[in-house]
Amino acid sequence: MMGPALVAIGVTVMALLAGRALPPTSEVLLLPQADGSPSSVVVVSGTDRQTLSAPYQRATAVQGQKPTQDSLDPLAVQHAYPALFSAMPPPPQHFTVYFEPGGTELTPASQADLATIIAAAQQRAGADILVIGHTDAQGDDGENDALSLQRAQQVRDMLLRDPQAVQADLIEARGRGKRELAIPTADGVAEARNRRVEIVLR
Amino acid sequence: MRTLVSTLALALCCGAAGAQSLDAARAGTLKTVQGTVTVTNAQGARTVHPGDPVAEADKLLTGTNGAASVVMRDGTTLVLGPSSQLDITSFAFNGTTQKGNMLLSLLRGSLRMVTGLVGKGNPDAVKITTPTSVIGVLGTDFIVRATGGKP
Repeated sequence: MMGPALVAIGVTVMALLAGRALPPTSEVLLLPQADGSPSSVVVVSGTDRQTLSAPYQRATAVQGQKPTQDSLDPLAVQHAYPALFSAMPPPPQHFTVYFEPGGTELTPASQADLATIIAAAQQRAGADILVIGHTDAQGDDGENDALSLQRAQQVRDMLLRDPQAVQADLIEARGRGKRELAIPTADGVAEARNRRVEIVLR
Repeated sequence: MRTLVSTLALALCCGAAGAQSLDAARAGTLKTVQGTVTVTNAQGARTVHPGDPVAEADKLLTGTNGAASVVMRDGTTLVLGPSSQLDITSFAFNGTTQKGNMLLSLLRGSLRMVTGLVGKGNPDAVKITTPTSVIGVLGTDFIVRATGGKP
């Protein structure tokens, strides 16, 4: 354990003694988005402003010098930053459970799904769970906000009943009422697929 | 009507309490911890494990063999490479309105960031500073590296 650290310190000390300490340098490298959609970053260094808008473009700013821009090879990036790819957590998993009309009782099929969700949570290191309740378009906004939150809390309680699943402080329950209908309907329409709780396991 | 009001009050009260358990002390949750990873703040330094919280004003440090990943409450993913220091200068996120802001400071090392809801709602709300630059984010996956200067 001590060897590499001492070597690293030694190299730093030697670089400083030799007067070769590098000036502060910042690099920003744009990666492709997972879904392929366009994206960009803006890098402001002193009075200079660079925009990266194509994958693998890189902006470099060395203190006291004019910022530069170039483009890297995708494989070279993986080799230069192995930890930033290997330590990336897996993408979140999404589940949906459904309710009987007007209350917080899960449909029988959805009750059975909870075991699957608990098993998935146990597979993930440091899992935290977002539980987001929704209603259909029947009823007024205030009642639906309250009902959607009650549904989320009901699911949270059911997940917590398994002491092995997840710690209480890692499950957050939210209600979004009828703001995000899964199946768009006119106001006042009862729709079973909208009476749901979404569970994001991340 | 009284029943409805009390139901609402109960729901709001429990909702606030349920949300608080995460809002108060947790800006994000550690997912991957490789090698030496330390979090320091005004209370001191602690070694961390997957599932541990990170909060505003925490500093994340990785050793020469270290790496860590954090998922913030808005879904932003941060991956910190070896020999790195990242300060969570400020973080705010409202789970109901999905609005907030995030200011991070990479003092040295490497950081990969995949933005979440805060950046999607308002790109100006997410900023990363390094010793030489300020990075503004427009819904993105990217790497930042800071080298040189004082170790």
